Amino acid sequence: MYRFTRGIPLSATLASKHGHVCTGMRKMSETTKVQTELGTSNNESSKVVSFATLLRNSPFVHLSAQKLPKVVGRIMKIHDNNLYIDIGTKFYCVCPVSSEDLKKYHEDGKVMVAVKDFELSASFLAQQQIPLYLKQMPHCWAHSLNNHKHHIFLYVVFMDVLSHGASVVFSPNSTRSTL
Amino acid sequence: PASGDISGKQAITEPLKHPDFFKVRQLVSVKDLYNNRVHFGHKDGSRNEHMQPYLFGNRLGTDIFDLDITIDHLHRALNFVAHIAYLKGIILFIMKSQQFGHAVETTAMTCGEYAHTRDWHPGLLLNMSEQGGQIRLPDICIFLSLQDAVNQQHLAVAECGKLKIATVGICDSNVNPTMITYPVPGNDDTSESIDLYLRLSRRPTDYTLEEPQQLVLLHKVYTPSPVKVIGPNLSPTPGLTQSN
Repeated sequence: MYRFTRGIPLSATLASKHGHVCTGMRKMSETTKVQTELGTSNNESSKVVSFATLLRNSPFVHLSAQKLPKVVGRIMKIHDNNLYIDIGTKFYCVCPVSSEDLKKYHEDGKVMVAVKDFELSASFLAQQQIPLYLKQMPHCWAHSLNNHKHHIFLYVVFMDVLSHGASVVFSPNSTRSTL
Repeated sequence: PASGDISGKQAITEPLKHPDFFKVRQLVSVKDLYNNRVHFGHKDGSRNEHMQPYLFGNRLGTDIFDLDITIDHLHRALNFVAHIAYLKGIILFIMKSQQFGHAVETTAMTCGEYAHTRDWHPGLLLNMSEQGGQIRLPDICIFLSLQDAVNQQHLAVAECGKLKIATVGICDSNVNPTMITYPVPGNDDTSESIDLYLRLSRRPTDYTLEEPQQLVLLHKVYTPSPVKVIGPNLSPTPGLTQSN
């Protein structure tokens, strides 16, 4: 990340050290559910946190600069073999799924998303969409499992993410998982 | 110490002397903006050079707004809107967006103000009498997004400039904020952010100049409660912009 005010780039230590999956990822979609009540934000009573602190601790900054960052998203809507997923960033994701896989997903369910791009820069699109690959997930998970140091943590996250009905064959010792 | 008699002029000038007469700064904090994703901008490729002072930086290609700067601009804009509404000014909400048009219209309706979320005919404000509209022009225009459907600057921005209509505008990182009187740098593409702006703009529009007795109270206490409430409630409506 680079800041204009200082003119020097921040170091890569902001990125996650755990490879593909970060603890911050689970929080990213949860922050979207926070409802702000008018009048409850009283600066005199609560501690005033600077934006720099909020951003530094945000899941978006915890994302590492990889080609396909993995985030946890919430399915907003399923329509016409497309999943519209909210991942806590500016735009939502659109992911096409096959008709057989469609049964595994339901609205308000959590999914793990490999994000191709956070914003489609094509200006002719009325609504910005983020294409992503859900089908690529088995390979990504298999790759993560090889990192033995963190495989227990990944197991826990995985089960929580897929507790909403997606059928998964999973074993910490196997190098393959089907989704 | 004032008696029951307050002249009309005092009722107008007294609130203006106070830096935050309507206490709009208590309506929103940096944390609220952060939770509603106001800090996300567009990609650095589509950045407008004029928006650079408002940006904190760039992360993974996405411009990030500095919410410490945004909150100051937002407070000023809300204070301004509250004063205009207090003096019974006409407020026009403008947003050309398929996704949020309905939400903006509903908000304006509950406030008792006006909205234009359809295609803007060139000269709608400039040639208002010719187009069969009202004689009185809006006093302020609140732009929830400065762009129209084809990603160009909304035609109303130039018309407001020509007619000296003050504008409040949510400026995303790809728009030109130079013609806006009270720019508010922030996200204008996410439903949470737009929901937040609409909720915030409902509150100041409730402060209208009503009966003299209420004016006296306002002058004495300097903490006005909403004197005219339009609509059923002021609590945020979750999911207002989702699949409506």
